[in-house]
Amino acid sequence: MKPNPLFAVIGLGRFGQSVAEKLAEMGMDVIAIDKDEDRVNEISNIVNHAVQLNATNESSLREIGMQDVEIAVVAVGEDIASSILICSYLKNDLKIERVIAKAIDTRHGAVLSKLSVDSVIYPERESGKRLAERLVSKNIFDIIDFSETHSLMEIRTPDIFVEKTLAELDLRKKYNINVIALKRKTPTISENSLSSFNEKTIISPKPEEIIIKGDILIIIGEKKNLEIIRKL
Amino acid sequence: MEEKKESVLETAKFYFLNQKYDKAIEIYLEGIKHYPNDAELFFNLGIVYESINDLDNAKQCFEKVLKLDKSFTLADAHLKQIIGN
Repeated sequence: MKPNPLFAVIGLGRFGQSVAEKLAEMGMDVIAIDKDEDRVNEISNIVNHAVQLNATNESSLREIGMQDVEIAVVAVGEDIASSILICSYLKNDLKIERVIAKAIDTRHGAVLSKLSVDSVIYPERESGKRLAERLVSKNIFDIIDFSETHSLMEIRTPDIFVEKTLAELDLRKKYNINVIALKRKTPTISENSLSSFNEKTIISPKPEEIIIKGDILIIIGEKKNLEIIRKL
Repeated sequence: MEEKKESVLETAKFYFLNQKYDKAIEIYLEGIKHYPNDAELFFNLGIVYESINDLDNAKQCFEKVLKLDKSFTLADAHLKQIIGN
């Protein structure tokens, strides 16, 4: 069986630290590098090798055996000049098989790509995208994770549920999810003859409850099953 | 013409109150073709959209109401509520 590759993570800010810790947690051999002593000390009990050095110095990198690393993550995004210099050493001089670098913007990313970096990532942009997806996803109003596998989700009722009873839908059996409440807007006409509505929440709806278009279902279940409901 | 608007409102409200939202939307959209500057039609349509949690369309309707009539405070309140969400 092929042994696990040797990883290096350079730059132990929040992002680099998370990557190094997760790799170590998954049993990978990791060299964690930062020029800041405190950051190195903080991670020294978690990864196999924590080294304090200035990674812009090629000979220092060679001294700690960086040339044996197969996958390097360069997470020194804020210091663009250092990031570019380090990536250049890793890829072009030390010939590291796979270099993944964090970029802070597209110009930084474009320079990294020119250095033959294998992959450029934009962590802030990616987490921003995820947030935006959740915010503008027309059907999802809220998601609360309460474990790694289970969530509570507030979702606008899929059209195929409309005018069916909860018993007919049988979501527990079909999707292994539970409907814990319904939020509904009931139409009315106000005193000034304009349209209006009253909002109510039906807690623990009965099986004979008929789903109305626009109802918000509050459901709990495994994330993978909630995802199926989201896509209906 | 005014009578026709009243009939649009009456029919659309009937469907709205009976939770036949798609039909109510259809009637309002048809009415808006004839009365494109009528704040009341846009407001009521916005309320139908909001009732079914179609907040993008509801927001557009309330914005249109406020363009037509800045003093329509109820539209402003609904718009703020949606944006706050």
